[in-house]
Amino acid sequence: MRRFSFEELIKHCVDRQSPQHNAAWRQFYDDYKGHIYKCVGERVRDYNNSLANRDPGKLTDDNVLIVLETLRKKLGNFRVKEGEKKFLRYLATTSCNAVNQYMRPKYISGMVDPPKADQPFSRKKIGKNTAFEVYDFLIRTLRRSNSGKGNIERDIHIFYLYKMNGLSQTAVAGHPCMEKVNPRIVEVATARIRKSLKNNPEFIDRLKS
Amino acid sequence: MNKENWHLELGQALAVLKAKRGVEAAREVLSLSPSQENYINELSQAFKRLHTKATISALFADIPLHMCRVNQSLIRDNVELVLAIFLCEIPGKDCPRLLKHLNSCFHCEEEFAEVLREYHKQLQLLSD
Repeated sequence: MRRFSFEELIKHCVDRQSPQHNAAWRQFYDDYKGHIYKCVGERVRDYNNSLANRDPGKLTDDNVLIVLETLRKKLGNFRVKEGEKKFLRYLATTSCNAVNQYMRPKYISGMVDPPKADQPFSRKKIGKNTAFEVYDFLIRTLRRSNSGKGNIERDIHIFYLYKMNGLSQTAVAGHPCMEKVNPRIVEVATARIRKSLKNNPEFIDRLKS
Repeated sequence: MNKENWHLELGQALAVLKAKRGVEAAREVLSLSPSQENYINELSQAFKRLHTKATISALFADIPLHMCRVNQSLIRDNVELVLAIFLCEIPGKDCPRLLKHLNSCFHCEEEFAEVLREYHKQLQLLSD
């Protein structure tokens, strides 16, 4: 069977009316599955280190399916003339974004809810890039849903130190810029953030997906 | 300062200065290396220069609200600010600016958390 060139491949994959559509997707999968699995696998491992007792192989397969589904919808956004080298970067970004959307709520849920005995939770094992993306998402979500509330910056900071970074309550209470904070206030601030996340429609939607 | 252990070294130095026990007394509790003792003395000198409220307020007023550039962490590069945060009485109105920066800048937030962790641990050792 004739192999498509890169330009033809993308064109037939995007065009659902094309008689070569299915053949093009088969070639696409053969050509790029290795790259997609590599990108997805790395990010899934990163999250999964903190979410114990999940089957990493199954999680990777689930996430690859999500990436392929995303590509079916969004492949048309890629400008073919930018070439295959840029396409590999586009695939890596798409893969990471899809994994983030799927795994991030599960990770945040593990952080927000008290850990279960059979599902220990550890923030420390998450990679720096992934931690940055989770943090960025949390800050944006919390600032958007709590704008105008007086203590939100302080509460976010306490939540980060206590829940995301694993500092003890007494260490947080000894924070040099928060003199009136005691372990009880640390608990209250964390509970406020937890409630805010649980009531946040964006967070709930992503948790369901 | 040792690049790999800088959180530990800075946290330890801040705890010694906060406990006001002097390097000699701290040496018995914490096993300080000669280079760490020098570092604590350097920070002590820098802290003595930070005595006016105007200087401290100026340090806080200069805190950016946005994220630091890559490889330019405010917490790592501005030791005077760290001394002011941990050892000086901070004017109340300046704290929200610091918290906002820390929340906006993941690098500073991570580094601040590590310094705070070491500071708390060493301060407990010194107060036992």
